[in-house]
Amino acid sequence: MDTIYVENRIKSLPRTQAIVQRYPLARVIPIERYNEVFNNASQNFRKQKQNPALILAHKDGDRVLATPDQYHIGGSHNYYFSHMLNCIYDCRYCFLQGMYRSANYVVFVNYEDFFNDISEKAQQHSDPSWYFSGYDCDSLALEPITHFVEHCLDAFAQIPQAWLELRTKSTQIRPLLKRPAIENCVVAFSLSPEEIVAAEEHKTASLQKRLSALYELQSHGWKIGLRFDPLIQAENFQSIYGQMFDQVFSSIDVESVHSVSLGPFRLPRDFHKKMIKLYPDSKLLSSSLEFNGTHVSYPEKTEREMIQWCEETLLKTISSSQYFPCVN
Amino acid sequence: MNLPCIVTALESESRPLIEHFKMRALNTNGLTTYGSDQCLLLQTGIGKLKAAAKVAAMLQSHTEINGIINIGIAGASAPIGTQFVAHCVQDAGSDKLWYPHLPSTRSLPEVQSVTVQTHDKPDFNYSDGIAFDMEAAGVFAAARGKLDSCAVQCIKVVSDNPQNAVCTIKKEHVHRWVASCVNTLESLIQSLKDPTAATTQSVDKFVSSLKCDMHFTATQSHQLHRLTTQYLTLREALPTLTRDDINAKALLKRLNDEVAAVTIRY
Repeated sequence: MDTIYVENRIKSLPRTQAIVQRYPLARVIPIERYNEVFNNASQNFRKQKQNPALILAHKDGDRVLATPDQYHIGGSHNYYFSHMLNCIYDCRYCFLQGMYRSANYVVFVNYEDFFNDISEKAQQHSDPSWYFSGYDCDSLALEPITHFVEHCLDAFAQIPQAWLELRTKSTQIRPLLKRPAIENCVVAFSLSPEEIVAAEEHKTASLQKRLSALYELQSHGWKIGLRFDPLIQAENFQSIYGQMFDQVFSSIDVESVHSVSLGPFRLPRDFHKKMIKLYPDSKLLSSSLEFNGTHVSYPEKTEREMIQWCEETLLKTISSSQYFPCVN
Repeated sequence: MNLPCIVTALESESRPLIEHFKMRALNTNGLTTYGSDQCLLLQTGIGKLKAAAKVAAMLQSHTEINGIINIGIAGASAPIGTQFVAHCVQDAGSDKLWYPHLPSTRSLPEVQSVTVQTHDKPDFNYSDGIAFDMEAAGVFAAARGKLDSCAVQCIKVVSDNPQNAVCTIKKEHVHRWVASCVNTLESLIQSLKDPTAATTQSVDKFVSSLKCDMHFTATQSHQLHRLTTQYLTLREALPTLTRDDINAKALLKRLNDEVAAVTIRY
């Protein structure tokens, strides 16, 4: 990281200073509000992604938001929150490329405000409520710098009726291994066949490394989740996905897996339009997709066949109570 | 072909760059411009209004420009001849700010970054982290409407400071100071390269040649461009015409079918 923008209002906070000190050679640039840099109209996500800057900011307004209806793993009250915007990885299918103008990473350092909001939301419900991290970022990838998850787990340990999902492709699991597992947290890994990881999920850990991390977490008592999302169409789809399922289920204790979900590759139409301009040379984005209302997706028949085959294959190994399709 | 355009205010700032890049004078609608196969240069004269007007006119007449780099002298509380890149450009008159997205520090070793503050008249209130100039905000005001934050950059070299007044600046000094910025300038030019250029250029060329032989409506042109890009990416070659491509409609249908037939093998 060689450029760090810092909002003036948080520049003297110990957490801000600790993060800045991790990068002694970085240019540190004061700003008033993060959106001066992040939301500016004339930006190129792809060019910025070659050398993204870090923006340290304070999050005002709504910090905990309701998830879309199909986004749940069994709970009736589902929310997401983002202590960070953007991801250090570079997955070609990721909607963040179409959602944000900038590839810079924004980290909101007022973690405690997120935890207070979550606590308040949890108190509004008599039954458990779920809080998904890792919607606008990877939950663990920048943990060595932010220590967000460390603080987050301390906070959730005090709110047992609130359940946390950490969603990641990262193997930065040290903060989880150095403490006892907490009951109300699921560490969910996004998984794809090794061939798709290599071709489309740039800068991420290999499938094998993710599975080793899952095994370690499970051995340490953490509840784990498997997220086969998005499913990517391939000529050799059944071969590579079948191989992956075998690899996954031979690496972990299947019975104690908290939840398994899968979802097809879909993008809001506007995001897709921006993404094909940014990456005209991407085979994945150039492949034939259909407009489906406000979204683009694989042709309905293709999508249905992919999901059906995966469901049938998964349900030979997992129980239906573990399975949560993320399908409209 | 995409070209970067260097923007200077003074002849003494332009001269070392014209020599280095072996540029020749161009005739661009009354603008003072130079060019080579590597880059263009626009000399605007002093002041942000002239800079804004001339950069806007330059971008209008040279659509191949893929980046603008303003280079020139500035006042700062740093030793004479120190180079800076701008991490922020501020129009002191309106307080408007621009944040150029800088390339990595590895590609600009030993070049510090500052806020470049553009004033209407020379300013002598030197302070750390700020360089004063008279054009950068004009350049950014005109260029950032067309180009993204990675593509508009600014290099300043210190010409005056609390110990050396503006009136002591000589042309030959300016020549030497600007010449010393060439490595930084070349690094910034490198960073302007558009990663999509290769695909876009081959598609543009193919589409233009087809449009000479066949009539396409505006919508069809758009579809042709998109389908050719998809075809090139998925099949790793440009389409070849067949006897069945009797008109635009037939060609577009065939391209669409052939693109739809490709499923990626991982």
